[in-house]
Amino acid sequence: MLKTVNLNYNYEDGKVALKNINIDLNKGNKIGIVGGNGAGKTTLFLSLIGYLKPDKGEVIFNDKKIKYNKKSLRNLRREVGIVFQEADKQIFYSNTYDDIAFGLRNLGYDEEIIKRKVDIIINLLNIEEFKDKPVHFLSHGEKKRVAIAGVLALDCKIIFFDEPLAGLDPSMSDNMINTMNNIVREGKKTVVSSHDMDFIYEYCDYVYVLNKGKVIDEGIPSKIFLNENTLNKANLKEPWLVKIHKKLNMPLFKNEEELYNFKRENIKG
Amino acid sequence: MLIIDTYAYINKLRCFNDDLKFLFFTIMISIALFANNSFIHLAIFSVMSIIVTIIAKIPIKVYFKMYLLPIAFILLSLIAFIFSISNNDITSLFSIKISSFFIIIREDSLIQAISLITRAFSTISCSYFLILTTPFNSLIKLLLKYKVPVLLIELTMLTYRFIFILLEEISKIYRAQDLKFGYNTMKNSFNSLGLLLRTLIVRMIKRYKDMIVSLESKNYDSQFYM
Repeated sequence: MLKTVNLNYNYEDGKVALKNINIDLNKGNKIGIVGGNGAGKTTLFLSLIGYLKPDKGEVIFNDKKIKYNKKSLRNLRREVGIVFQEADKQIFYSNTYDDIAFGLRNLGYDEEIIKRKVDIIINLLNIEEFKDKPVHFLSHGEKKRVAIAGVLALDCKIIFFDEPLAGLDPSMSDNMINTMNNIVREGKKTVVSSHDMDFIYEYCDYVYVLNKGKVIDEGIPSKIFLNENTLNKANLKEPWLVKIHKKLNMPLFKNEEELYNFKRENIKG
Repeated sequence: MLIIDTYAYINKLRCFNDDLKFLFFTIMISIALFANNSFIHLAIFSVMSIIVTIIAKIPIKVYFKMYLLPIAFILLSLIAFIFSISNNDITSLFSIKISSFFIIIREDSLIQAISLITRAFSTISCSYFLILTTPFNSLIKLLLKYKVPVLLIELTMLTYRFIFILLEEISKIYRAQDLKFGYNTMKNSFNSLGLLLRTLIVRMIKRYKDMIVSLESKNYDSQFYM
């Protein structure tokens, strides 16, 4: 649905930000983009939503090159949404409801439909309790949920999450992962960037590794995270499940649950 | 600013009918503006203060502290209002000769000044009554309901939202400087203040750019719908 062909992007000062990027978001429904600081993850996201125009190469959406005029960008952003790392930067209203409805109103929906859609989202994300509070009274985690609600309300087919877990407490992180899993269950795609390798390893079904603006490796997580070379080059670390696989001679588990099940069966046997 | 906001949410009149509060505010502030009698002004001031402190249960200390800022402005403007300069010593309540001219206080300007003070206090008390008992989001709803131009409401709402973002940035920078002894001497303080302003502008531009990205991603079409 959305992919890039030989995408190149340079910063204003001529520094290379993205170089020959070929990414196909059809490879999975939970795609991970990992890489050290300054690897180009956010730039890539901004190119994929059509905000940054590549210097060379194309972004292809539904088999067509995207055009950078208002109308086609509008069509693209109907289907592709993005949740930024800092919630404060994407909340404009002092009132939660109006902020969630913002994107829908921009698309010109009827107020009645908007109300129905926003109410569903408010229920889904459990933010009813602070619906009437002004935004600056909310905590970081709560603001983040409001920001996500504003994107979910648009009902996009693909949603980008830039560092979704940054700054969240453990239980809020679980909450966030749950929300993303629910989005995928509804038949949508999530694309996440993160520095939390445990999260990427367990959550994603396909991973791209970026380093200095280039894709240096791609594949399913169990393949990527066994490749020490790639990880070192990209300033990344092994997830703990990979570590116990390598150091304690255990099989490679996809998640914690599998490990416990394995232990249980082994003790029985 | 934050204090006002907090009390707007926890005061005892919060759930009282917003329309009635707004109507009461409109009537009282109209009387305060059009009446020329200082006693009426004082009466309005007392009634509003009693409602705010006793009925809405805003702490008296907080409430009167809020007058300090407007008092400063009123006093400053009064200086120009009460004193006038004249070349000859006309009959007045008070006059003092400085080289070739006189600084005088005239009776009529004094009366006007008193009326100005009482009027200012009564209107300020009316405004405080409204903003201390009605949360901002309810106020926006009221403005929409009474057909205030949307452009004005948009502007009010955005200003309100961004004041808090600005305050937050300032306090973050200030705290970081303060912890590194940026404000321990007069000289350092001036230095730090300059740095703070510079950093603030750079950060504001950065935030502005980020916000444009996020507006774009939501198909912003140059209007904030309410």
